[in-house]
Amino acid sequence: MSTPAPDINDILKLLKDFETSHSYTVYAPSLEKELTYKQLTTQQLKSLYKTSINTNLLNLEFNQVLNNILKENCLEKEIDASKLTVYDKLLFFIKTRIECISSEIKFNLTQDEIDAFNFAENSVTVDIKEHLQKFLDKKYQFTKETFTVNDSQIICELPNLEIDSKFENDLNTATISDTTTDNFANIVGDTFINEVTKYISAIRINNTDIDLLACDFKTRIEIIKACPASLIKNALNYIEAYKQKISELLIVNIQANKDIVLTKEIPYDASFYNV
Amino acid sequence: MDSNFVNNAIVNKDNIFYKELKVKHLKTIYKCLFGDDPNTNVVIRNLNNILCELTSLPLSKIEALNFVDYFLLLFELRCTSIGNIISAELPETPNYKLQINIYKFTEALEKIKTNELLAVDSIDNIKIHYRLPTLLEVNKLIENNTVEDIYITLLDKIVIKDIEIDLKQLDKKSIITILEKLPAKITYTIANKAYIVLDKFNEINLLSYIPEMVERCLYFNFNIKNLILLLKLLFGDQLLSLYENIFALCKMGNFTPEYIENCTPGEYLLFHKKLEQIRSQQTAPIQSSNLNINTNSNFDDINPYNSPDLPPITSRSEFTP
Repeated sequence: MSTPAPDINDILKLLKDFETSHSYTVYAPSLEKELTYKQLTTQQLKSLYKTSINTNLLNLEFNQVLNNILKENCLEKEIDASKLTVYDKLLFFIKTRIECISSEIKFNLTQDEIDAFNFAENSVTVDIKEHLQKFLDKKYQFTKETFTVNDSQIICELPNLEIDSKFENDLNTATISDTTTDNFANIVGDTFINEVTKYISAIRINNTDIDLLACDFKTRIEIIKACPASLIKNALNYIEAYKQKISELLIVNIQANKDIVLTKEIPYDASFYNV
Repeated sequence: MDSNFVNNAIVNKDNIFYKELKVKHLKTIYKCLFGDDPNTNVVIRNLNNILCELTSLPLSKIEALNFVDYFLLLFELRCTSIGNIISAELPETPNYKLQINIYKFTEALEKIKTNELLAVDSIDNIKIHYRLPTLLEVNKLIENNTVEDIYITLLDKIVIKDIEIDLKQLDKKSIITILEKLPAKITYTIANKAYIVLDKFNEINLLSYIPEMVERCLYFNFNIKNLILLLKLLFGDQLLSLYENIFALCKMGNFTPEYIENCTPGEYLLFHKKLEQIRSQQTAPIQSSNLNINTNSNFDDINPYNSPDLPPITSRSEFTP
């Protein structure tokens, strides 16, 4: 006598319980604490891979999918995951790869690299667990900074996921509706300004506060374009300082020989989740 | 006439009793395999029916046999009913008959050590049990081969915290839903296993043991086309020759077609040779070329495939899924 087929709903419930019982933690610098996340599912991984097909200028779809996964998988009830910063998200991105797939990353080598560094094979595998820990030990923090130039003032801080998502959604909508070759230069320019705008949480010009979040995409772009260049330069410096620090995490040093080190970059996209 | 002769085969530690093939079964096999591009579904359905008739297994168990066990059983059946040697002639050496030993095929499949190859993977309280696909599942892979299809054909059951989920009892949609909800690292483990299994099978060239066959390959892998070629090599597809021989036996030997079709292949060939011997002692010898019988064979050789028109042996074909 054959046993009855298992109920699919019971199985899904079992898997749901499993997700939470096999959680892992990721350090969130913005809250200065470890947050618990449930396991990345195959479906989520597939959705990340799908973003590799539809790549665009800033890999917008990948960012959106990653933001959603982070919010969906965060098990901390008292935390509003959408308030986590892009820095928290970067650490989540790396730690999730380590915990949910493997800590070993395979870097493919170019023929020039093989020749220059005397590698025996065309790829090299690196365990990034230690690399992440070394970075975390540096305890980098990116706090809010205020810059004043004459009567104008801007406050820079790392954007949270809500802002990140909103701004990228707006950019996506704007670029989808305007993709002619003639406007490509404008799109690149707007994309750049949009990226800068994400890091500006407040602007005060002549004692008037401007709420960038309340503005639509085009208005935000126009406001930033109208701001004094010296003010925007401060914002760019703030962003540059952040990018420079996180590059220490995104660049892996590979000891090729005794004295020679090859540097390889961790791709901040779905390809990082390949094995 | 019904032979009561029963033999037994050990397939994956199971004792399977079986009767010899009869001419009528060979006729069915020839019909299925006839032509350059036989309908694989028809071949499998008919082979299943024949195995059901000849073995102690019910149809459901035959359909559930993995394709390695299925072929091990077919090898046994072929060896017992027709003999373990296949004589083949290569185009470059037309007068030289190559002897292919089916026991070497059995050895090659037994070397796979499926239990080791399909060892259970265990990660974070989840155990993944694997299996090999059935012949019907291998056949479906060529029609519709997504990565998930390959995983599904290899997955047997998943055990989560001692709760067993038998995936064979679920439909494809449900299995995909479960796979999507599984932790990503479990899917990576399944994918890794799939690569190992496919690689292992892609290394199995059944003709590799024959030095003269160095240029030719017959892969025993997840490609149904290769498996059909293997069936053609095992049984042949000389349907027209069979009809001509039955006709000759009925006309000149006074046999009935029913009687001939219920003979074993060995008996059938023996009657033919005997008839030929009697006729050759008379004034008008039988034109052996019309009967497709090898006149130079002695009576001990009961291999009816001892003719140069064996199916072609393929060049290497890749695993397509």
